[in-house]
Amino acid sequence: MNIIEVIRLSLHTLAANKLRAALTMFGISIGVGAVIALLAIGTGVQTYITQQFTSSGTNLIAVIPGQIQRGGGGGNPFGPQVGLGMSDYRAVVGSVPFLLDTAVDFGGLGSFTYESNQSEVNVSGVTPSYSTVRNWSTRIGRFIDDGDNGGRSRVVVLGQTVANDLFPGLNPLDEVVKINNVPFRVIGVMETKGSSFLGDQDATAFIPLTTAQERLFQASAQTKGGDRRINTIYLQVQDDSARPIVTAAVNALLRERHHIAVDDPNDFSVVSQTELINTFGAVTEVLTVFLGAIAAISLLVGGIGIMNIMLVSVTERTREIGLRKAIGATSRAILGQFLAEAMFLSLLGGMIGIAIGVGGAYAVSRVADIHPEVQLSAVTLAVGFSLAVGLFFGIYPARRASRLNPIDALRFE
Amino acid sequence: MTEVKAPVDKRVPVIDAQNIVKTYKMGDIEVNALRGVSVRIFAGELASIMGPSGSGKTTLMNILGCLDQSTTGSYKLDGVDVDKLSDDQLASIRNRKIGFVFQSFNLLRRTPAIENVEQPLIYGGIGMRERRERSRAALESVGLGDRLKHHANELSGGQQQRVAIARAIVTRPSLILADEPTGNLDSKSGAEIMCLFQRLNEESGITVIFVTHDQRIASHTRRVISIADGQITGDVAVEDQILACPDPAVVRPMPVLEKAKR
Repeated sequence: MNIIEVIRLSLHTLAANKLRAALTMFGISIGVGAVIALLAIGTGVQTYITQQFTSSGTNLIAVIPGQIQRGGGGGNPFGPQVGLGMSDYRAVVGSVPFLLDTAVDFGGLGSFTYESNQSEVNVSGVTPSYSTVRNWSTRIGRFIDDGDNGGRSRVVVLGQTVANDLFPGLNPLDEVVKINNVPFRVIGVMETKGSSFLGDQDATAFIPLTTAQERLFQASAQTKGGDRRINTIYLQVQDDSARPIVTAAVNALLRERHHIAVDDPNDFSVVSQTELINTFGAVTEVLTVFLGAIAAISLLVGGIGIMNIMLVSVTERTREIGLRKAIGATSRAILGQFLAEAMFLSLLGGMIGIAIGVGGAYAVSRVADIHPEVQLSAVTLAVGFSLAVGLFFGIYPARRASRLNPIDALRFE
Repeated sequence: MTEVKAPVDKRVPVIDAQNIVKTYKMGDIEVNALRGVSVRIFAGELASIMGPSGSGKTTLMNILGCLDQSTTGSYKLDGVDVDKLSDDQLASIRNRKIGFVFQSFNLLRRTPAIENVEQPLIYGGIGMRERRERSRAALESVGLGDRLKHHANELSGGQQQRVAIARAIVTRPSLILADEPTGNLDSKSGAEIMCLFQRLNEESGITVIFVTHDQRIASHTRRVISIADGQITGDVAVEDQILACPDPAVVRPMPVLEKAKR
C-alpha cells in the first residue's frame, strides 16, 4: 500500500466529515495566522521605530542635562541643578572632533494666541542649524536664520499642529501671534512629521535661541554661573564609527567643565540615536518573540483540537478499523491513514492560516501607521510548526487505531 | 445425516487444523475456548460450523480466519503454516486468501458500493484501473451492477450484504468465512443471500464456510461441523440440503466473474 493510497483514503474520510474537518482545521489556521500576523506586526514595529529615530536626523548625538541612562533620579531635563550652558556648547563645538554640524535648543511652555484661537505647546529657541541637524525643514516660509538670532527677533516658525489650531484654513505667514503675551511674527510652518510613540511631533514651535533665552524665558535661562541655559546640544557626527569617540570626548570635556569627581556620575547624558535604536530594537524584539510565543499557544490549542477530533474519530470508526484489518490492512497502513488525516488537517489549516496571517497583517497596515512585514522565515516557522503539531498530536490517536485488535474492533458497538 | 469418514484425500485441504487449543486469560482464570479441535475442509466445499453461543465457534472462526492464533496446535491454510506468522504476515494472508462476510455487513457508510468493494484490493496493492474493473465485475456477479455508485447507507440490508459478499470475493480468496450472514436480514433477503452463496459455491467453486447457531442456516450447506464446549461434537453431511434459489432455471449465469477468474 503506497503513500498515494494512504493520502487518498484519508482525504476520502475527511471529505465525508467536511464540517468537522473544517472546524478542526480552523483551529490550526487561527494559530498559524496569529503567529504570522503577530511576527509581521512585531517586525513592522521594529522598522517603524528605527524610521522614527532616523527621521529625526542621522548620526545624531544629543547631550541633555541630568542623568537618564542609569534610570536614576535627577532626570528632569528642565530643572537640573547645574544644567547645560552656552559655554558648555561652545566648548564642545570648539574641541570635540568629527562633528559635521551642531545645534542647540532651549525653551519652555508657550501659550499661543491668535485672535480667539489658543494653543499651548512647547516652544524651542534654536540655532539655524537645528533644521539641518534634525533633518526637518519648513513647508512654507523659512526657518530661523542667523539674522533672527543676532537680532533676538520676535519671529516664530510653527509646527503644523499649532498652525492648524491657530489658523484653521488660513495662511499664517506674516501674521502676528502672541506667545505668553509677547507678539511674534510667523515666518514659516514646519513640514508635517506626524505622530509617533514620541508624541505629536508637530505640536511645537521654533523661535531664535537668543530670543528664547533673553526675552521669552529669561527667568529660567540663568544658570548659577551666570551662563545662559540650554536644553539640548545636538551633535551630528560624520559617521557612526565616530560616535564612540565623540561620546567619550563629550563625556570627558563636560565632566571636567562641571568639576565632577572621578567616582561621581555624570550630571548630563550623552544619548546617541544608534543606542536608542538598539535599545528599542532589543525591546521590540523581545516583544515580538513574546507575541509569537503567545500566538504559538493558540497553535498548540489547535493541535489539541486535532488530537481530540482524531481520538473521537478512532473511537467512532473502531468497526471500520476492525474491518480494514480483517480485509488485510497492516497496522502500519492504519497508522498511516490516521496520521495522514491529522497531518492533512494541520497542513491545510496552516495554509489557510498563512492567508489569514498575511491578510491580518495587511489589515493592520491599513488602520495603523506601521507596515507589518511578513517574513518568509515566519511563514516557514509557522507551517513547520503546524506540521509538527499535526504529527505530534496525530501520532497518539493513530497509534491507538493501529493497535486495535481486529476481533474486538469488529464487535465494537 | 450420516457420519463422514475422515477423508483420505491427496488434495491439499484449504483448511487443515490439528489439535487447536485456545486459552484466554481473564484475570487469574484461564478459559479454554477451544480444547483440541481438528478440522479439514477442502476446496469447493460448502460447510457450516454450528454451535450455540459460548461453544467456541467464534473463536474457531477467528483462528481459521487468521484474525487470531491458536495457543497450541497447528493450522495450515492453503498449505501455508500460519501458526508462526507475524501480525503483518497474517494481514497479508487475510487479504489474499480469505473473504469475510459479517452479520452486520461492516461496510463504509457514505462510501459508494464500488469503493467498498475496492478496499481489500487497495491493501493488496492492486492498481487503480484493475481495482475498478474487478470491483465492478464482483458487484455485477452479486447482481448489483446497477448500484455501483450508490452509497452503502442508501442500500437495503440485502443489498448491503451483497456488497459485502462482492468485497469478499473480489480478491479471489481461497475461502469465504460468513459469520451469521443472514442474521440481520428478513427471511426473503436472507434467502436471496443464501442463494447467492450457493450459486457462488456451485458455479465458481468458491469454498464457503458459514459460522452459525441456526440449524436451518446450516442446512443450506452440504456439511455441518457441530461444536460445543470447545470441542467438535459432530461432522455430518447434510442429506436434505435446502436450496435457497427458487428455481435453478432462473438462476442467471455469472459470466463476468468467470471472466475475471480466468
